[in-house]
Amino acid sequence: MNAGSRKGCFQAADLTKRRSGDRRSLMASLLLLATAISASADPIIIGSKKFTESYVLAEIAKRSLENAGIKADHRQGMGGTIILWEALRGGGIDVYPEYTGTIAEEVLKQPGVSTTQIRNALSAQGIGMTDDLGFNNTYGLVMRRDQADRLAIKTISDLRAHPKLKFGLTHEFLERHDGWRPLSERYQLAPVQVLGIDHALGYSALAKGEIDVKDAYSTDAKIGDYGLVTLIDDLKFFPQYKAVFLYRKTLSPQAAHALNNLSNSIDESRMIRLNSEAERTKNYAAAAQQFFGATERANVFVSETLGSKMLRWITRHLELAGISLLLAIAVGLPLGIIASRGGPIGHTILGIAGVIQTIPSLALLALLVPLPFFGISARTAIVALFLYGLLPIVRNTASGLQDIPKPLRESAIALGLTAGQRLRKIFLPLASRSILSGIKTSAVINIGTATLAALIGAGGLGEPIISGLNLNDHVTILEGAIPAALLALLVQFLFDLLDRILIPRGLRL
Amino acid sequence: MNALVHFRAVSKLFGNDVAVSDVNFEIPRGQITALIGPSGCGKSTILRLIVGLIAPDTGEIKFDGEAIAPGTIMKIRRRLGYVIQDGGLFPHLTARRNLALQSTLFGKNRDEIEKRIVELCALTKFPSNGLDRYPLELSGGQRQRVSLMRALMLSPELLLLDEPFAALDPLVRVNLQRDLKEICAQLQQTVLVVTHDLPEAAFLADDIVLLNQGHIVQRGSIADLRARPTNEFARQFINAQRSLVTL
Repeated sequence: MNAGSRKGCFQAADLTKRRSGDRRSLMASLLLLATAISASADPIIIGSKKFTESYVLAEIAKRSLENAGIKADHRQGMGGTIILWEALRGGGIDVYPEYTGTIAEEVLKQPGVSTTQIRNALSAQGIGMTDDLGFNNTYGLVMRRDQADRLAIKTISDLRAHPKLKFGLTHEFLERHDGWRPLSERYQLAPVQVLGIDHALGYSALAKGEIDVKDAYSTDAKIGDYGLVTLIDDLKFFPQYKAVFLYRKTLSPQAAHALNNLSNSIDESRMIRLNSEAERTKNYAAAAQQFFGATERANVFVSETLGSKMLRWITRHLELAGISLLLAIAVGLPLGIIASRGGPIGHTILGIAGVIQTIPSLALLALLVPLPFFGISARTAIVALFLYGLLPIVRNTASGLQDIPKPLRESAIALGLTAGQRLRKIFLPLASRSILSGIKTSAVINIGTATLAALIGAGGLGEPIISGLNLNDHVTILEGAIPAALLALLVQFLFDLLDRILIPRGLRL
Repeated sequence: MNALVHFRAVSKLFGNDVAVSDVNFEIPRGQITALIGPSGCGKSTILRLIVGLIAPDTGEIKFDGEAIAPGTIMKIRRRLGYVIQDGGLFPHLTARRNLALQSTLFGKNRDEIEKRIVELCALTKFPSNGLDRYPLELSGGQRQRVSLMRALMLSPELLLLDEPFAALDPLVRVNLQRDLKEICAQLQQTVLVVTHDLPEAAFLADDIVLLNQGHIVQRGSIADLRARPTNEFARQFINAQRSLVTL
């Protein structure tokens, strides 16, 4: 840690000490200040990627903005670099923690550019970048220490002699421009087995010996916790990944100042400790708390009870699944009616609805985020869920109508009913069973898929699932997974009831 | 009295198959006319042309002086009653609601509809406690009675019956044939009935139209047909009917 950063920290600590002296009046003046500064009371939205350090840094940014009297919200654990970057550019979020190497490689696609060049390129897009926060979190390859010692592997080059080692790499690392492919070319590595595995799950797989080598961030707390060793990057393949905050230039000077104050305030060992604290307590805000000093621990941050969190998740989950289902019904029913008439239009409708269904849900989210009107929001999640919900409704409506026997169809015509009367009074009721079962399928799919909404910061029961996945914490995963499963069962049950109410008795004989 | 329906040079092809070819005939008012012939002879097609379920390729059909065309068919349909083999009742509606459906949608009031249903129950000998049953809860014969009632609800000028009794067992069928004949006589109803059963046609109608391969072969009373078949097909068709007497 350099002198400058230490000074900055002490100042922050001094401030917090003074503040805790007369908390009440300070809170009041903070409130006043806050309203004065941000006349538009919209909170600053901070995004984070789905790994511990990103969560912790975002919490630190949130706290330092709040300490400056600026309201801030944290959208936790969003899908990945591209989703956050597009959200930042589109204004869905205002701030997020990023790494210089990632910006150069993934965002600007100009490997090896200097910090100044990065800053200028971002500036042209209306994005500001703080000075680095004081640590370099580069990629590295890690192994179990005992195995590395036994095989005498110290550098990445040493791996060349052991092609039978099993590699378990994150999906992002497998695809990155500074990731596995160029790395393996540079080092001439050709392992027999390379698996794609989630970051947190990869650590436990490594600890259990299911894999032997994995990619890691150099500040990962688990490197120490699991007794792992980082292999030396002897060919200097990995670029520098200095942590910075990216922010929209439309941010107020006070907010930008508060973020810039964080530069050079965290060194590598401190970041590792904060990460380790976050993973130990399963509480990112508490880890951020530690950064600001223990004095404040008792106040300001009141940890939300499980009950109120659960209520918030479930409410949001139902909101996402419910609104998208209503939209899918409103659009799917007419489309199904049109599709039931067959012909090129009908085939096209069913074809498109079928194709949408085959797009992986995460990919669909990632495709929607950069579009105007969407970005990182519940809206995007609802639209994605709506698109997934369409096919079962369209298909079942169409087939339900097509399955009506010809004599009944002709009887309705012969009675002199208009097309609209036939549809409303005869055809739709006759197809009601098939239509309702399509809606039920959509509802159950939506409840399940809505867990992915958390990846774009839209909340819901996916929040604990993703955060638990990241922490490798089964209890947290179950906090999301069990209610989601129960909701799906409940929906199923409600639809069975609805069956009895909505399907005419004459069709149930 | 002029006829209610006129067919003038009507032809209809389904793909390359002739359904009806150059058909000229009329349906006189106030009597039962029977269309008879082997399956595929075009008799059902004639009914479906009148209802407008299909349109002729050439020729013209007039109903009460008005050409049946897309612009007129909706109005004309409301002056027709149509009964098909298995009744065509809507399974999601009770018998009563099947009967009331059309009248309700055409704006008749509830009392009027109820009154008409009671009248028709008496006419068709349908037990009124069956009115609140669903079609699947009724026997085949009862379903056909409801179907007949539904066709008669708006006092149609023309009743079209397409093999109405073909799916019923003989005893039920005989009863229904007798009741139908009575009802039509009582109402002086104009009827066109399609059947492949010569005794049924002979029992119901004095005026029988024999069709084969889309053409009208012969028209007349059963006595005419038996005494003077116009060609070999007519002779064979009439003689193919075995009676118990000859067995």
